[in-house]
Amino acid sequence: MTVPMLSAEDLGKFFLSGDGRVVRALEGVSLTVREGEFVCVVGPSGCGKSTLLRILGGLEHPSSGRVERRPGRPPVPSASFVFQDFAVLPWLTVRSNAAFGLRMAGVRRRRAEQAADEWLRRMDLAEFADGYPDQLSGGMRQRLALARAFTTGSPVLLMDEPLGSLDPQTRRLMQEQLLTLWQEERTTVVLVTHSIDEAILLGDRVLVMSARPGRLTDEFAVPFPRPRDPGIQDSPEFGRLRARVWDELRGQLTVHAR
Amino acid sequence: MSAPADAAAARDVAVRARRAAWRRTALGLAVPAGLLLAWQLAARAGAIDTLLFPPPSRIAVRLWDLAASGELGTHTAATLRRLLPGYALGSVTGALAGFVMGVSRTAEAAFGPLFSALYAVPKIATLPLLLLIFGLTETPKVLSVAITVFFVLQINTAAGVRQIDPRLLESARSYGASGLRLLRFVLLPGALPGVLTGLRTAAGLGVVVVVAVEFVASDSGLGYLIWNSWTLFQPDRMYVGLVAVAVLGALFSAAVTLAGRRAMPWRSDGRRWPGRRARAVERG
Repeated sequence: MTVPMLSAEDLGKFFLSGDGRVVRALEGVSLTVREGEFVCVVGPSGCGKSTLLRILGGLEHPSSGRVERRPGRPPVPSASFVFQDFAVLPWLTVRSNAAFGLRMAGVRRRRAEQAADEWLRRMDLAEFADGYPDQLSGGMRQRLALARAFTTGSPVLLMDEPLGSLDPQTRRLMQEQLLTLWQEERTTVVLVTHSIDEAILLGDRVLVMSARPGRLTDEFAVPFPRPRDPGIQDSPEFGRLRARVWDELRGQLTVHAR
Repeated sequence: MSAPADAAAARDVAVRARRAAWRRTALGLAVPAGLLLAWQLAARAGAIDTLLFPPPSRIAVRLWDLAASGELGTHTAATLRRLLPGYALGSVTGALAGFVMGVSRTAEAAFGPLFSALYAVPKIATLPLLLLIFGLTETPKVLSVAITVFFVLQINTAAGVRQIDPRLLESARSYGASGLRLLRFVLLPGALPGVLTGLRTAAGLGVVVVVAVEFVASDSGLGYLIWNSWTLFQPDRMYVGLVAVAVLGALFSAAVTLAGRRAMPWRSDGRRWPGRRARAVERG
């Protein structure tokens, strides 16, 4: 078996809540992500999905367990994030935002912006390159956040509910765009989401996470071959898988509710 | 709807918006003009004491005389020579101190309480002390302005740094931003709105302080012109001073505001051609 792109073993995470209690956010989380794999994590709100992603990306340290990432080839960072609220910098032009990751990795401006322009073109944002993020709509800003992540050339993209703040129609469009884009790139992706449909449409595997403390309770392989067509969402097979994932997730939600 | 009808409707909307903007501007000018006119008529009719409230026409004549004789220019220049260096000194040091205190918890813990206490002291109250230290020179006058401006900038800059959206900081850090790059790409531009709020507030306060200082410890400047007119009982000359201070303050604030907008082209009011790139429609 090839070396995994990303692996985590028996991760645990405690943190101090606002009122001074110690909260257990993650417990015994292990996962392995192969090169070029698209893994989706679904789970109830507050289950620690984001914490897991942040630990995988090295933004936080686990309280126990360990993470191994295949190192990137400098100046390419080993992992790049896409956040739910876009988090593009309002004072940088669209082009500078797209080039941001490479600039921070120490790449010279001209080279970074060349790479950025290529991705802005692919994201249909080329004509807005000299504008600022507040001139873009929500969906366009999210495409910019994706362009920023892809421009770095990172072998791993960590997406935290990246389409979560879009309206349903835009979200669906973006899912289809992301699907197409990923099928061209085959970058390794870990995507955290609330949406079961999104997870099945995009992912090779869907992992279900329990309510706090977050544990990975089940895993579903998505049988649809690549390249996928967004139309699979209407197939009975998709519906059956959705029902199975929902059953598992529902168990977690009701356990939590009691 | 047909295309020509659409175009006509669009033109109509634009024309209406322009007319509304003109109406607001005209109203803003008409109200002061109306008040001046009422003042003039009341003075002419003898309804107010023209010794205390000389008619605007007489003030205008006096303004012309003082400007022509060069007296007004001399006093304005003297005020600017105190205001501008003091403002510059206070702004630079205040913004630096505020920035450091916004970034470093240690610096905030060390100096925060002290600066909060000093902020409450009316800065003009330190003038006698400054006069004691530096004598009757220009230094205490410039420093009075600088001290006032310093605290305004310190507080607003520190707040500006702290107001940077933590999600932006996190996203920048996730892309490896640290040290000088974090400073240049995130912290400095992020704190700029706070700095500019400070600069605008300080512009107004700086004028207040420089005039007050000139009341008591100067034989030149617009503050001196106003105060001296009182002692000589020359109300129309005093009004000229008041008008000059008002115009100076308004111009100074406007210049700072305009420079601030230019410094933040990412805000819609900072772009040279607002609306040229109308908010783009989402295209799938």
